[in-house]
Amino acid sequence: MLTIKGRDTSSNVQKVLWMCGELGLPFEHENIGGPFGGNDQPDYLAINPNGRVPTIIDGDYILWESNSCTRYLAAQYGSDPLCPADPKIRGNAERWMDWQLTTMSPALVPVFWGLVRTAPADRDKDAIEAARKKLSAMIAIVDAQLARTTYLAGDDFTFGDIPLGITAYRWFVMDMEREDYPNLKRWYALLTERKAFQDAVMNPLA
Amino acid sequence: MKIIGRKSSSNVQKVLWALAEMGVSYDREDAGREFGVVDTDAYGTLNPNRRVPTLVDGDFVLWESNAIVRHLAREHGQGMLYPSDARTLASAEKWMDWQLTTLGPGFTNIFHGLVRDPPEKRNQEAIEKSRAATESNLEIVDAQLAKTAWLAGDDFTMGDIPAGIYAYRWYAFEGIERKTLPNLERWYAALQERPAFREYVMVGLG
Repeated sequence: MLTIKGRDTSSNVQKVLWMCGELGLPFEHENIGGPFGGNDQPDYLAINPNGRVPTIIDGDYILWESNSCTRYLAAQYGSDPLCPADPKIRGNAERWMDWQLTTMSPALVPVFWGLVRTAPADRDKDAIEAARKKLSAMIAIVDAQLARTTYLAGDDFTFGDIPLGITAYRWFVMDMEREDYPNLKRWYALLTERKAFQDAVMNPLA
Repeated sequence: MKIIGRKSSSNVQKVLWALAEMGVSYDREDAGREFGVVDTDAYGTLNPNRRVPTLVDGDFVLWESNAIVRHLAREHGQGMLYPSDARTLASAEKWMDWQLTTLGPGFTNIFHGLVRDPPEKRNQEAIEKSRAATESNLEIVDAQLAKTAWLAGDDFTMGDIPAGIYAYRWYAFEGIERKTLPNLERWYAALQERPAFREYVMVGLG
């Protein structure tokens, strides 16, 4: 059976948990990282020298890097449209996944840390607001795409919606001001109807 | 097919190297840094993220360098740059993602410090921190290359491309401290035997 190692509060672990939910794929799960620790231990580093979560173990195959894990599971255990067959749709889906790594995640992290992982008394309000504005500018790029297509890569839900879907949940639940992005809101409402999203993502932030 | 982006960009180089490996012809237009272009309305319409490269192929537009490399490899490099085995493919993608999440961000300050900043403006502390982080990241690459000839297995794949560009840059820096990493050095020597690598990557630091 598939094993997923990594705390279920991690956005990167949630990508894989959400995908497993979409696929109806059974798995064993072990909380590692954050308050659970373990990701700096030799037995974990032996399977993931990068020391982050998640790591997945599928038989004798070990894989880490959350987006690669998400795509691997979709390719192995899923089908079109989740793992898009059309090369252009697949290219677009993968682009939004990569962009979450290169651009959206660095924009989200300072806001998330400021509002979720810092006690109210210790928060640097000006720094958080400056970071929130930058995050909002990135959210606007997602909104503009969703003005043209129902889901990020086209008419159907694909693996390309997963990384930014998790960002969207955080955008909507963090205690802060939000500009109105109607297309993002419409897409997010669709995501919230998915059981796998509810189960893996719509949980308290930590 | 057209690639938009300056040849000196590591992200553009990924795409040019991949295309040369596959013998695919294309047009290229300069954009980014000294060439500008990325701030124009026309470019923003193609690529709202305003970085380079952007691929334009008929009515299909794609950005995010690793997503472009995967798309082109799927179209033109099946069984070569694009592994036919699902697990080899996922492992190649893992090393591509890892460059985006870890190797690239760790490298930014040493590159900007040593290549873009004049000597009197260098932040030596930031440069050393980035050097140490890169060395430690390259130890992870070295450990993989102790087990396999190439990053994803027995053969050169697209998974070698992003890290290969960083290897060139790491070894091209003058006067920095570098731990001896024999497996990395063997792999880097093998990369240097590839004409496409010499032509598009070993072009100086700019």
